Amino acid sequence: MSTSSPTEQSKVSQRKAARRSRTVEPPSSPDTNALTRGRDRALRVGRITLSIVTLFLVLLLARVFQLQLQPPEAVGAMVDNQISLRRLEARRGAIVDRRHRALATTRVAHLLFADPHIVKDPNTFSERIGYPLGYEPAAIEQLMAKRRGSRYVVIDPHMSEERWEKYQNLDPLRGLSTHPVLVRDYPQNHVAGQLVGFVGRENKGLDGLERALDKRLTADPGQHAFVYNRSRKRLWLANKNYRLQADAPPVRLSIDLNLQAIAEEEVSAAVIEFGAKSGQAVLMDPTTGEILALANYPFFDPNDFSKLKKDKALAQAQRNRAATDIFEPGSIFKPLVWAAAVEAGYADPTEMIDCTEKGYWKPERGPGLRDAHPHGLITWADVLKVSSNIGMAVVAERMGKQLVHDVVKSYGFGSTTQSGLPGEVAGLLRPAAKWSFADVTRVPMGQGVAVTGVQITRAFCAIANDGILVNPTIEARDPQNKTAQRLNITARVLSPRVAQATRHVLGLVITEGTGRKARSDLYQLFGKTGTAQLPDFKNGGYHQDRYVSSFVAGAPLEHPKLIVGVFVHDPDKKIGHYGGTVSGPASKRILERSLQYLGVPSDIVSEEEEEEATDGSN
Amino acid sequence: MFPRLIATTTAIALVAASLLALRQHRLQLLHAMGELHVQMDTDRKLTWDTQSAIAEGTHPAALRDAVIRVGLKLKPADAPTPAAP
Repeated sequence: MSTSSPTEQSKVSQRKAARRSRTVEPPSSPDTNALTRGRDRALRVGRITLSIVTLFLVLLLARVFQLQLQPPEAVGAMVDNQISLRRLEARRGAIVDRRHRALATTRVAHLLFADPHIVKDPNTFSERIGYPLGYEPAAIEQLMAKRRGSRYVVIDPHMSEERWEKYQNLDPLRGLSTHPVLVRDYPQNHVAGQLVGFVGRENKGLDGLERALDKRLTADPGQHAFVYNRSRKRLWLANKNYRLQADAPPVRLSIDLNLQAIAEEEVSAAVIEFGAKSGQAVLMDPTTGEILALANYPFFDPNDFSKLKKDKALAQAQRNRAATDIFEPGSIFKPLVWAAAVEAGYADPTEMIDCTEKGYWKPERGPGLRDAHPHGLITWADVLKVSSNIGMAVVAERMGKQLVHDVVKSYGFGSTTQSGLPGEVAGLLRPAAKWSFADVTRVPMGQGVAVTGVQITRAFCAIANDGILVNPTIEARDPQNKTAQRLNITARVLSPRVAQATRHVLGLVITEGTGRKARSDLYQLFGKTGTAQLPDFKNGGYHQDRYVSSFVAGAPLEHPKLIVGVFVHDPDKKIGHYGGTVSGPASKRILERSLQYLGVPSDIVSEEEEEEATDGSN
Repeated sequence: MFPRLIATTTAIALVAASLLALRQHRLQLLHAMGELHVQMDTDRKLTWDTQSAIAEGTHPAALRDAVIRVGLKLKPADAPTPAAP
């Protein structure tokens, strides 16, 4: 350990103090001034550089803002070229049956087009696509020649599935391309064809429900814009021009596809068997008023709508005649007036009515009437069972024309049913003031009025529904919605007692009367036959050998679930023309098959079962 | 002075890099979103086609033909026994 004297220590401290004093006070020599000037200059240059850089950045920022907000036209065009608008296709609402099976739907097809501007050799081009895809090369060449200046020549607006698959396997060909298009598809073909209708090329409803519900079925397409890079690679969605598409919701019909198919099969079989011109069948639920099937024969396939202009027969078949065509109903009208007469107390089912031994009766005023067979003195119930014109006329005369008119009107005749069926007509029912004396006795037997198939079937629903007349509908109703059910009722036209009595008499029509050919081994049916002569518009009066053969029936007798009306127009008289013969069996088969399909148990007790039940009780 | 300048520059550089990374991420998301959009549109149309094909396959006549083709021996459902009176 070293030691130092106090004198040495003071010297060292003096030296340190002298060193410190040198650093604090700069010497005022010429070299130090030069250093200061240099430093000031550097600072100035730095400031100027920084200002220039800042100014440059501010200008750059201003330019960026300008480009963003108000770009020059050339720049705008370049950017626009990189943004491409795409249509977001929206789906037209589907038309589905009550179990959501599609009757009309929309699918994607592909449109094949060529750009003649790019095609160097049209001859080779048309052969290269014509042969593998199944087109006529000459036709393609002709198309391209016709629109030489165009850059968009449509070769096929809707490629079939097979062609589309072949096209995808085809070697890429310059000047040939496709793009997707939406097409309306009717997958059930002719089933409910007239009812569904069809759309045109622009997807606008032109006929049937497609037209009537066009507004509801029309979708709202959207759009989005994509930004592409220079090599047309899709980058991202552009912020602007975005609009979401809105598909139209489906419309659920009251029709059941299987019941519709059953009705169509049976009505077509009846028309063909009896050599008739046309036929219709209407199947309804009497409690809800829902139309479960609406068949028209000859059939119409909406997929064939483009052939309508050329094919006259197809144009005729296109109409939904069950709602748009009227006819004189004939004897199927009788139960309605029969029940009203009982309801109002003008006749009683057991009351004896004189239908004359000769089968001819002359009312107080107006022309005389004939029955097909003389019936003599029979009950009011038998009048309906044997379908006596005279018996109906006798009681109608008691009722008077105003009451008969009011009864007919109360069932909804003379006005449309508001069912929503497109093109539905009101029928023909003249005001009572314009009725002649003959009308009082003719109208109750279905002459002098004209109705549609839907109207008369709906009127029978009142008899099946214990006297309550319901509004028919082609759209499915919600069974849980009690308010809708109440609104669904038009009016009570008969008391439950009279409605049940009428049903039982109509049941006798099937078992013992004119409708025996409609007797079923599965269900107790009730119904009425009708054979009305067709009016002769050329010479006036009626044709002697041309008829509308009708049959309206329901089942099961005690708790009816279905009402069917079958109307066959102009059957061959040599084969058969009575309503019970022509339309009766078809009605029976429709009811049997439909009730089985719906799982309704049989209400006919066989003799063996009856015996067993009797033995058991004994 | 110099260390402060370095620190400021580094901070600015980091912020700029982060912003660029975020921007890139946003663009990638937009791209993915656009692709999803196209995919959704394609799938929607595929669904329509499938629904149409199902509708054709469930046509009553088509079902009947299928039953005949497969050789199924079907009979109408037995009518249920009526309820006791």
